[in-house]
Amino acid sequence: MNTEEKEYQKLSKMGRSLGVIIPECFLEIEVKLPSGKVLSHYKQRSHSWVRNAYNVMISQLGAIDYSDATFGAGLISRKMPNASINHSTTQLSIEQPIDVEAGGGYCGVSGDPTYGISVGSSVQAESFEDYKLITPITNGVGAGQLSYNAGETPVKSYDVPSKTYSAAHARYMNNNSGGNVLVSEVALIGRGSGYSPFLTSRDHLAATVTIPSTGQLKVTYTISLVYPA
Amino acid sequence: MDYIESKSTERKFKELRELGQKLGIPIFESFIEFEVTMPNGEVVHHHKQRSHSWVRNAYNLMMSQLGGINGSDVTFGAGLISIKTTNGTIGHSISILFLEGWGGDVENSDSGYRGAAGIATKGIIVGSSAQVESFEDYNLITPITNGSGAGQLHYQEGVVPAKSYDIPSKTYSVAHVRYMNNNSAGNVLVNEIALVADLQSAVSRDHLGATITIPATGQLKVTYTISLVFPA
Repeated sequence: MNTEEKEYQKLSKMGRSLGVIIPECFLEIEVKLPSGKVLSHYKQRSHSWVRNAYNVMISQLGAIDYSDATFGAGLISRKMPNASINHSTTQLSIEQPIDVEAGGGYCGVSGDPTYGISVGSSVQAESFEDYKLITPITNGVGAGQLSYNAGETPVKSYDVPSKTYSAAHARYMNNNSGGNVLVSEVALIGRGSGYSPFLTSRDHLAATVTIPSTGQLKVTYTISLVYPA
Repeated sequence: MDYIESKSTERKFKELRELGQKLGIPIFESFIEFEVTMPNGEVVHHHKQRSHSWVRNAYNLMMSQLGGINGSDVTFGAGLISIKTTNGTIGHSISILFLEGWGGDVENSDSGYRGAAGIATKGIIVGSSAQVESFEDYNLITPITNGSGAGQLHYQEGVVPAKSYDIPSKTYSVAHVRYMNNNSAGNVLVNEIALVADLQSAVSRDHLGATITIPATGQLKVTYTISLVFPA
């Protein structure tokens, strides 16, 4: 186990002992060919909740509005993928009060990469201030495009020994372009209030993932919370 | 004012904060401050402590919001995402979980954690039970009701939350305050405190280390401060 993983585990243990809420997030990438051959498959921690996600958390648990007209340190608002600042005298949520496990929340609909799990090609390092994929891979069958399936219904599980509740969100993307498609960044985008998607996490992948023509990419985000009891 | 947390506890929280900041994991902290003042301005009690006691409802809210899942389990407990309201009923819906009404101003009177004047069932509320806190708490054990009879307090409207940001520590804080007046003829004893959201869902209950006595004509001020350490 590497040093960083030891630190994550220490943090998780300390959080449980001190009664502090510690959310964790993992990202799994798998590339397959139609033959079933797995070309790439790995899992890593997602390190990259962005400012929008923190603002959701403090707005929800602190019971405050996201009413600041600007965005940045010390301000509670949200930054949309087009860089506009959205604010309102109400709480910030990743979705309206609707079913977030079927077409809402992080479950993007087929052919729509603007919310849910979405990927891009930029190798730009991740930043806490990210609010969009740097170079989104659009939906389609043209060069450099992927066909986005609908997000899968999240798989929810609870591990009794570790008292950990997990929600795994998966999405398949097919390369019908005729050439390779290179993926270097991944994002989690909530559909948001007013159905205005906003990014909550962006990860720059340590190594570019190549999806060959006819290949399929599966991305799984697993969000976990360790309960004290 | 006395700050009653031990140095060893504070060291652990400091380490937790720094580790969370380094690893990009959000770290919530919560503090409660109690001040009892007499009409002549004399402060007869003043202490601050950590609130250690987010309850299951608070964890479920975070799991639903951050994990993008519904609060749809019809029962409540380990491995289930639902809420338990202060009357013990289980709230569930095929929807993302909210502890507040949808779309309203949560900083408004009688919204969020701001109980209205005379309302002792939501916002910051206090009780007399000395029963230790539990992660499964969903209400005070023995709530102190609103009124001027024996053992009662007059609950003022929760104050508009004070929001602040500390640049050096990158910490955003929200302070929720409520005043309660003892207009009864005798002492009122407080042993427990809870934070109850608008939809009658407690997110936190703390059993106090020592009873706080509010003498007749005294005023209790409670401040709940909820903080989140940002990485940048």
